[in-house]
Amino acid sequence: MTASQRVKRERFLPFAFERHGLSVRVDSASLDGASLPLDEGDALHVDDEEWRELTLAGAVELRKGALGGLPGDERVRPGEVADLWLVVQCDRTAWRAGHRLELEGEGAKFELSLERDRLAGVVEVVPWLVRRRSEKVPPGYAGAAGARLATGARFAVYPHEPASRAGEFLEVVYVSFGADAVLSTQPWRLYHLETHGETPVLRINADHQDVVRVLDAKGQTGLEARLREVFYDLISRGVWSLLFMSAVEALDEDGNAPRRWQEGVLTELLPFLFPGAPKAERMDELLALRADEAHLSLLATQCDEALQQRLDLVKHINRLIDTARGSR
Amino acid sequence: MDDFGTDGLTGGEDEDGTHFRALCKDTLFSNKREEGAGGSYGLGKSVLWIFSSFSTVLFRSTLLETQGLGNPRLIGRTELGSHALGPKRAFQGPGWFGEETKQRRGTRAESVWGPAAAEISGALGFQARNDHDTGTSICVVGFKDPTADADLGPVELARATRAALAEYFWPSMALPTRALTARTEAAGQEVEVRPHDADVAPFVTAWESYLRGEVPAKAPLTKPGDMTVVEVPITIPRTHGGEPEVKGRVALVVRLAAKSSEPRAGQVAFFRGPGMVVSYRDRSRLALGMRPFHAVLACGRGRWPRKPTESDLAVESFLRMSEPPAHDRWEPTPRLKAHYRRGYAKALTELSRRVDEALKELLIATHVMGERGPERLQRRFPIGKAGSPGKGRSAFGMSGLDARPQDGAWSFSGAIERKAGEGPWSVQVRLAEVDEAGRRTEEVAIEALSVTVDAEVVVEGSVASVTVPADVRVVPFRGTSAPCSFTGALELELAGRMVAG
Amino acid sequence: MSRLKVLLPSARHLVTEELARGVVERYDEAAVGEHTVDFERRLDLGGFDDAVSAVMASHDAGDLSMDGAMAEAVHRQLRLSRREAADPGIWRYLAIVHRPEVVRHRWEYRSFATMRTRFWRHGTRFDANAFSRWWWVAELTVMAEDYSLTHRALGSSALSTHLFSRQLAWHHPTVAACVRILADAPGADVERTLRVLGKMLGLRVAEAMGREELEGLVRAARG
Repeated sequence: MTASQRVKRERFLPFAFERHGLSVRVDSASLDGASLPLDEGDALHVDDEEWRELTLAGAVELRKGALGGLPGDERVRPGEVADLWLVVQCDRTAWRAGHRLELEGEGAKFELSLERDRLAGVVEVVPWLVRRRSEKVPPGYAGAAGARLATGARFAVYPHEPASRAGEFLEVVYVSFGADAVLSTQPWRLYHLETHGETPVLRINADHQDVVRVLDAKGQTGLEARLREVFYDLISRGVWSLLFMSAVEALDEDGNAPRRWQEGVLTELLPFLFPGAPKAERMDELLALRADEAHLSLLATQCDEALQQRLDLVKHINRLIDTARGSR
Repeated sequence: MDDFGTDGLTGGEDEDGTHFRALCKDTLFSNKREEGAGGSYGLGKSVLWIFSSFSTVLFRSTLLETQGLGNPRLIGRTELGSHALGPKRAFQGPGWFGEETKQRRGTRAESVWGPAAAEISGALGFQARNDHDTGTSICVVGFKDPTADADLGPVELARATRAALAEYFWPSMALPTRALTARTEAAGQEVEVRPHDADVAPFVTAWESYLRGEVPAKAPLTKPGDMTVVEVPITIPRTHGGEPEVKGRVALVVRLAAKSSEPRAGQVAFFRGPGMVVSYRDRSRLALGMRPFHAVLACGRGRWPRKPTESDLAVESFLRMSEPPAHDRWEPTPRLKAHYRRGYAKALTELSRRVDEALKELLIATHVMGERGPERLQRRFPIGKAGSPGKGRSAFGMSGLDARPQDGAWSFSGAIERKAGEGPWSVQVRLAEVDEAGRRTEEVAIEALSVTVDAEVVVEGSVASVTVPADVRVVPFRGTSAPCSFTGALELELAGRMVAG
Repeated sequence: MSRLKVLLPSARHLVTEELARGVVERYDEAAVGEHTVDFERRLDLGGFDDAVSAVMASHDAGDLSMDGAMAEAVHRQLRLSRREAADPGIWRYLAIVHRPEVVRHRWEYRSFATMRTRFWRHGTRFDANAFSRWWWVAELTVMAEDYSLTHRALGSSALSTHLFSRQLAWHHPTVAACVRILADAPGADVERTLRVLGKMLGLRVAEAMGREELEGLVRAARG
């Protein structure tokens, strides 16, 4: 299916401005002094619940053409007329804060501290090249104090948030399988996923106390935290497969899922399942695979591949290996 | 074997479509014409000869109507490919035991009637009956179960027969419709078949309670013995003969059992009108944590035997045709295919699926309340996201968007390409000033917009529209705004749309 | 003593015309129990209740001059971090369950549509949840326990309406400049100035501007 319309909006400033002139590079992050592993790309997810201050260290870099917002004579001495700024903005807490950086050569180093109590939802860190004082400039250039000269891709921080109460995530509960009428016959199980209700429920066997201790481990470094991530991967793989199969089974011939969570599962997995296919064709591919019994094993294989990629299994295992080696 | 309360083997020696002909004379074709008849192939009677060591079966019948010939009627048949009487007289096909009658070509054995028949049958070991005790007695000569390793004695045989009758025919033995009672006799002792005493007792209890109207609909099952009935929909497809689709219902009666170790716990008894259980299906492992139960799925005439509806009759007919000769399941048969249009197979699988769903809903036990699990793990499953999984690829590509001040107005340009689809399409360009949060504050009027292809352009205020013919794929455009003060940033909105129709 | 709680989104149906009109004065806490959860830490509402009652007692119903006093009282008594205050559930709990009469005292019932948002909508817009608006406006305008900017901002109906519906209000020096220059300006003037200022700031980085530059910009926007 192809969308029959597309709308694009783009903003322009009435003077020379380089919208891709700057880039933010985060080299290290620490949480209350303890170093934090970085995610790939231009975002950082903080999983810990209890922390006060997140510190990011890195640099804002001037990319080629970054000084295009300055007239020619100023381009040779940008440090005299312009400053680099990092502006932190958090919509949920109406928080805005600017940090001026010293522009040296090709950019500026920074160390930025973010207090958890000021943040909720997404926090954006935006780089700006800004005119320092009002100047007389040739037509086509910005001469006002504070005028925007260049910006670049923003860096996003996602502080930990309690999972929504409104069913955004799978419901996960600890249950003593031994005390449960349904599950007591299978005390050896680690988890049980129920998919027949309105929303699925993942029950984790609280009777395996050592396992639970690892599942509840805090922090992002240390052996237990690494183990926890690998345990999560194990559970996630099984559970995602079950969720996926259950959702696929429920689809009607047009690819509509009767329950919202089933749609959510497919929205999450289809891009990994059919990475080469245009968004619109993924559902068709899925339905074609489902329709042909001969392709069911192919579907299972693709689901497995998608999950391995999505879960970043190797990364977590490698971290565990590194930590285990280090602690020997 | 004796049956009572039936019409007896009525019909002349060569009269088509009679009970006599169907049971004694025909071999392959049943005369069960009525929609609610038990069988549908007429293969059941061949079993009688198979169980005879001599392939010989004798029938003695007391008829409701003897047409003046007098009760009882007696005939025997030996089912053989060919046989000989002495060295000279050879015959093809079955041999008959009866009264020798002259025919145009040779002689044949026909039924013996009246006192002669009574005398012979008495001598053969048939029990005497009064004339008002209508029905048929069947004697399988040299009874031997071809499937058994060892011969069962009469006591054991009677017990096994009782058990089988109880196991499969309890629906028709139930009150108040009581269509069938059965007794077995061995060693001179007669014992009534009582399904209530057998393993199937929970099914019988559920079924009888249902027939008495005592089972509540969709009631929660809390303690063993609790019962409820759920109506399960079934859609019978159109027939090739032009009968329309029928939306019917079947009754699923569920009774909570005490333990999963009870006999037949977790099974569903499927049957239709004649009241013979077609199959018991084990659904105990449908989902983890199913509570033990016994269930009855009464279909067709069986749904409400006292007063079947039109749709019950349609379901009855449909399911009868879905039974293979063994009458042991419902499946897509050649007869079903010949009679119904597309959808007959789906109707059967849907019925099973819906029964399973209903069982799950009723029987999956409630879990103990748990404590909230690790939130980090929970956040690994963002399954609540709205949005369409993979629908909505754009048909349009946009490139080279630019806008800059020139002579006191915005000068803007760009290109839009249709990448998919057919037919005419349209392009819309719109200008507005925006504030620091990107919110539109004021529309910016467009003075002119030009395109380098053959297309109609209409400018109205801040919006310029281009109607593009089907054969044009790319529309490069260039335009200017009305004079403005450049107080804020400009938002250029570009839209591509397929033209409907 | 009452403790702060969080009202869940499932409680939306509790905002009824009867509640807004005062036909239902308040809900029994037990009855709404299934829609509430405890706030993440213990926060007693005794001081909050006293302060809010005092402001109510000293202002007639519908008197908009109570806004400044309420904002200061609510902000002083509810020592919340911005992260905590970003949860709409606490404001809904206060307005719908704990002190609905305060909302009714401040806003005369005109239509259920607007009254409804004064119980439910989160944020600082003029029609947002009354407690959320008071607290957040105070948070955006307070300067080291000094609430004079808060009182001035909320003292002008036009300013409080048009300023706190814009992102520029998140920047304290910008808010201060606006209040200093526009507190006594006519309503139409305020509305237009803030619209132009919003556009101007779309070309600048307010964080990189000093007090004088910002005031100059506000004046320029006013024209």
